[in-house]
Amino acid sequence: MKKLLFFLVALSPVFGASAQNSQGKVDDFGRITLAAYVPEQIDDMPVSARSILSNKLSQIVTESGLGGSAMNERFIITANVSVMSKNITPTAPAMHALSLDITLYIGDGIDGTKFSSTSVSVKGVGENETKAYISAIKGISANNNAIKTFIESGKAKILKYYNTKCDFIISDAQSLASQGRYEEAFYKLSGIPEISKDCYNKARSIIIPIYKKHRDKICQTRLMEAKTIWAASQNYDGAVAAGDILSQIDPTAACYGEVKKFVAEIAKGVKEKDNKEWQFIFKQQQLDSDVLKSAYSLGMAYANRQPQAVVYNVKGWW
Amino acid sequence: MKRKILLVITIILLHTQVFSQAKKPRIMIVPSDAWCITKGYYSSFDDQGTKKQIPDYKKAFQNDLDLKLVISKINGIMAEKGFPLISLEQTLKSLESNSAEDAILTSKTGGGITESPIDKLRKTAKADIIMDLSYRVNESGPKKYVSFILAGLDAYSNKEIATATGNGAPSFSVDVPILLEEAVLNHMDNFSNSLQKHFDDLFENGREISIYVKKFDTWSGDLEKEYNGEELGTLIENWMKANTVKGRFSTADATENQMHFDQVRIPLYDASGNAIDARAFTRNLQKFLSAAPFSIVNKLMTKGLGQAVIVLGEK
Repeated sequence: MKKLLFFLVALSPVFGASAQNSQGKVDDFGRITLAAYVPEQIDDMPVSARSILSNKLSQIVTESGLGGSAMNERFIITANVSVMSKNITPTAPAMHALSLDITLYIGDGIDGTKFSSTSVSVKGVGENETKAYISAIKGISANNNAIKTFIESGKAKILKYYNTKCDFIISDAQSLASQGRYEEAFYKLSGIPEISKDCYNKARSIIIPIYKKHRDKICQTRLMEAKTIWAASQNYDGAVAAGDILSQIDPTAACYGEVKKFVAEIAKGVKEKDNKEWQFIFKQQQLDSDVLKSAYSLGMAYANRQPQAVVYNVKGWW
Repeated sequence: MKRKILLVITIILLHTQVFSQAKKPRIMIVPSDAWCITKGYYSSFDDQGTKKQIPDYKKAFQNDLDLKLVISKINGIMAEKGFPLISLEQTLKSLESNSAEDAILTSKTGGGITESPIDKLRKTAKADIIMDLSYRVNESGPKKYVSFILAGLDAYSNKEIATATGNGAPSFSVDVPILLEEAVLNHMDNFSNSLQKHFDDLFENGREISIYVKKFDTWSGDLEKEYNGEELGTLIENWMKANTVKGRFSTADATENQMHFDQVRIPLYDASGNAIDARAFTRNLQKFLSAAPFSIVNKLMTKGLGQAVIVLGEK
């Protein structure tokens, strides 16, 4: 009985490791995700065929449970297309027959490290070259066993990356936080997948103190903004505008005591100047009780503000 | 004497009736590559370092009224002589509309039409006999005349089965359509007579087809694999000898991976009197290869009346 219990305990991490593919998550927090990237280097490939290839890569990662948003764009799936043969038939209409070798790559698009690759051969026919390319690319199957193995291999390498580089990621995030770049720190930390258990737990343990610092900084900033508004127009309208700013402050922030004092000051001022009652409704709870979720949202907002066209380094991949 | 004449007439009528039941070849007029390129109706492609010029027939039909007139004239003459032609222009239009229909056809559950690359490659205008047309308007002093070439080609044996070439009578007329019409009328009789001879030969000696035997690279066997002491390729040739009209065929190519038989003469009808073509004839070879001692899974594909491909190893 003890042996059976020990066996089940020993097996539990194995089941946990495959959780990403078996259980859906609504966000990318704590997940390994891949961004589809079609480089400019693919020779003579028509533009519309490039977008079809990009969609096909996205479909492959989505079906593998690695689809993501703009949040985690470090790791990419990309492809290079080699034309093995090209024939134009002297028929009416002329038909273009293409035989393509499409090599897929997974890697770190920022460092330029290739993790895994596989090749698939596809054939396509169309009335023109673009249609032939599209027809060939449509022939790539996400259920192809070689592609599935390649995805698993890439995933294992990404996990290894987090396991070996965890300390660097954590210290980078702490360094960013010390410079007041909190959102960037959250972005960096929230990329760590749950499957990399130790690293994920370390990230969680430092997200909370960083989030508190960020919350306190926001409190000071908003309070200053509200004071500026009130100083410019010390009347009922000014009080309403300042109140809007103050309502965005987390009640658990360190400077919330000052906020309360300032609210009392505004209420008194409005009563004296306009002879009106101005009431500020204090929040009794955190704006978002889930600190991790809030940190993720801030990281996400940071990612979305970044330039859309990320230039990846795939030099030497093919 | 009367009886003899009646007998001859009866034989001729029977001959015509029987031939009319055979599968008729599709004949199509196609402007020649040289004509299209000279007139500027072509597209250029870079074929992995080789520059290729491919005729753009759609562009030719949309822009050249003279071409339409010549084709229309030839169509009329050929129809009168009992050879109705298929219009390349209309075929191209229906290929386009069929392609569009296939692209949007969806089942109630969201399924689409299955189409392999080879299916797509075959979505072209097909003809058993191609009438390759070229003409040019020349000037000789104040007069103009038309040089005219019409070559009837068997699409499967690539043999020129009928031809009409020559110049129209020089004329002061500047009206190109009139010159073209004259040239066509002057040369069509010889052409249609040659075509008739070709059909008579088909009836006499069987239809001439082309058969390819290939193998998938996933199949471990090849055409040199031995069965009862004989190579598979030799056994296929023996089957051809036994089943072609008077054993007439040529082995154009033979390697361990593929064989090409051309000038294969097949009967117009099977034992039951049904009209047959390359597909019906080659289906028997397919059955022969599927049966013991070979038991080779194979795929049969055909092109028109006169070309068949058997690929060994898989469906």
